Amino acid sequence: MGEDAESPKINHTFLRDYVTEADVISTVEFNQTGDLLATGDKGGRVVIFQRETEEVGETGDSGEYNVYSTFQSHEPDFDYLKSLEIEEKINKIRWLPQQNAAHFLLSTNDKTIKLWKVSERDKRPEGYNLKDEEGRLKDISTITSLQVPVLKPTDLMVEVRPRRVFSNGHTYHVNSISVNSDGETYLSADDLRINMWHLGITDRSFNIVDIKPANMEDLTEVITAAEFHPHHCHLFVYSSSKGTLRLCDMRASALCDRHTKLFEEPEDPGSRSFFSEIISSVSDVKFSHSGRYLLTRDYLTAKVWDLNMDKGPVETYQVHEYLRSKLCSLYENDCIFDKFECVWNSSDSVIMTGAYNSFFRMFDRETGRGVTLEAWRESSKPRAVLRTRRVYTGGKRRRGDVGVDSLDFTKKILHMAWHPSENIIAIAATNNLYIFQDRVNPETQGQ
Amino acid sequence: MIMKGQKRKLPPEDMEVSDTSSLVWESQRQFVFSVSLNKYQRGQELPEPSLRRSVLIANTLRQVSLEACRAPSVDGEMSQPPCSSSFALQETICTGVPAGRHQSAGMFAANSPSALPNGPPVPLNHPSNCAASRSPGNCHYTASNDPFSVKDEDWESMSADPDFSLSAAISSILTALDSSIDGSPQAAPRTPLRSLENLSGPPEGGVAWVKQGVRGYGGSWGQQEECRVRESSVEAAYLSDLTVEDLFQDIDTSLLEREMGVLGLRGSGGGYPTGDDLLRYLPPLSSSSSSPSHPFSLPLNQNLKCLPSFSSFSPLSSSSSSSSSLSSPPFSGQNHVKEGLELDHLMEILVEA
Repeated sequence: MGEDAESPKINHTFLRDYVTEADVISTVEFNQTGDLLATGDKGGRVVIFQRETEEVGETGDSGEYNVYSTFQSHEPDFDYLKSLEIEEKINKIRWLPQQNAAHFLLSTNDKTIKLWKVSERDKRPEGYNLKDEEGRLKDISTITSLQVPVLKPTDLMVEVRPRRVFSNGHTYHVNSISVNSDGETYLSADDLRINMWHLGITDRSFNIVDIKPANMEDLTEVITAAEFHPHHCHLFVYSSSKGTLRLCDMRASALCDRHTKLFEEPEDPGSRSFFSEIISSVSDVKFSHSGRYLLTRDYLTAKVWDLNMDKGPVETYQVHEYLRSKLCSLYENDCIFDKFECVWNSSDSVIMTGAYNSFFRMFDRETGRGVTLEAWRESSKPRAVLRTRRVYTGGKRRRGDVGVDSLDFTKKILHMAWHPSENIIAIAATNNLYIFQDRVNPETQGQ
Repeated sequence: MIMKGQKRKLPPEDMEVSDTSSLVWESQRQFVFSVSLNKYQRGQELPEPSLRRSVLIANTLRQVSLEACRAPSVDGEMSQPPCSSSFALQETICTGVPAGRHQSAGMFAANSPSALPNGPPVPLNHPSNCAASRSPGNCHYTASNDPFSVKDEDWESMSADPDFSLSAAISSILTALDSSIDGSPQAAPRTPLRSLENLSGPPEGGVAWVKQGVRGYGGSWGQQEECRVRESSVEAAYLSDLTVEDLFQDIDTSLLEREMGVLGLRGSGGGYPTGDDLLRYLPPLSSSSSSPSHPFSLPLNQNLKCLPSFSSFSPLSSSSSSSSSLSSPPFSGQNHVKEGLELDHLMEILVEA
């Protein structure tokens, strides 16, 4: 046909660069074993990757992650009372500890949390007495003998079913969910309240924190993140937009409005600016695996806090200090409100967080050194070693250094996850998911 | 820096200006103020603005206003009324406008229509206008052929009676705002800081917010005014063609509604303010009762006798359609005369320009 001759001339390059808004990844989470990796996107979909259980190769590479299941977790909704649309964007995913062959995960959008059961089916029963192979009822008069149905292997099917829907618990936008170590409860936090749910009960939840003032005009602080302690089922922490962390003990009272411990760093008067409060807003808080430390991320830094010391962080890492002089512009273009996540590695010796220009940073806690890496498709062939990058802030300029003014602020690494036991990281860069693993290689070790 | 290929011409922001008395700090402060205002209003237009973002912007606005209150004036002439956190923005009336810029504010009030279109919220013009020179400080410096293009230090010498014209113009605008409430097309938007749960007052809350805006934002608004209007004055060479009524038509009351909502300037605490509250906070209408220095520096109670009586003002009634904002203002008799004098003075300013 005549059209075929013309089709090769169509330039499709623009399609590659076009990112569907719905495909933007909004959360990444490994399960407790690290075999499954779940991502949620703005379109309300959840994609689960499973690690191939291949034999470990000679280079030390483990199995790859392949798509295991995809399902639509949340649909766009509408609040008829307030005449507001409810976004279907998945804000957080958290896996439950595995108790049987099935996997359970919690996913939440702004208002509703759902418990999903992910199970495999690779057998089906055959040989029913009353139904034929297609499921139609048999004519009873034709049955002359009884048979016992047997399970026959079939193609693997991954079934995902919603098992619980926890709705109507939040007036404001849910920003965090955290599964308790007791395995029975979890918390969900919105801007002003934190609720505790039982996994089996959907029509009720306990409100454990409420910072909503009597008069909304007096509101000056919101909750930005919350997490249960990894071992102590009565402890949880929540962070605020003013840069404070509050550790609460649920044994003290039913309503934990009064914190057990308040973690706050005194403001440095020398570096005070109009944006001091905004950049002090904590965007993410994570307990260390040991439960002893807290990792927080604010706009310019990542801080490690010791639970035993509330006067200030024990370690502060500058993620992109070169942006401090650009805060005015970043405020104007709204980048200053970006919420970066932060993660620990399995041994709590390395912390990682994202930045702009598809850069992400890792800090070795023992040496205090940080490294900048880039998540970018064009430069990463499969199995290629990530090159360390540098942002040029003065002094001798090396080849490959990126100037501060050349940073692409639309390419932000906000969401990431670290494998619970190995050095495998998952980085979400807009609509792409990058999975990097540490090669057992002396040259790359320690980076 | 923001987008690849786009060049920005901001002044070197590298210097962290902590010296609150310097011009650079002041210009930075104003820039942050205007951007914050703009952001907040745009956030309000969204069906459901992010609460965290709104709170952070509101806190920044509050802090910026407080800093203005604490900072000594540019020329050191202004007296400092006591500041309290609950009246953070109130202070901007007292001290927000440096003496050197009074006269310009008075004159530029006349240019308000070009700076305050009916449609989009006002401050949208401001960053783009100021962005022309890409400097908050440069807001005050326009094209060389602009008759108002003078440096700060020259402003005082220019005007014969800066204080009177400033207070007259600004207060006229404020009173016109009150009466043009009914002309505002949209209802008070639901702000994140005023959830439905909190609604306990009468449905004229939106109107009350405008009043609050009048109360709280007079000075600071004037401050922003001069910035925006200065830019527009370059083009507005046809001042004489404008009628005073036209000027006041275009004031966007929604601007003030939203501001007040977030900043919570509800001095009476909970519920909506009465006219008496407004009485306290409006600047004086005439300079006769004010000190020779900056009229906004008066303690609050001195303003009482100068203000029109708002107690008779009914927010829901169409006591004044926007077109008759000046012809039938709901003021007490004696203030009619005062207002007439001020309007005449305003006309004089327009003619001069």
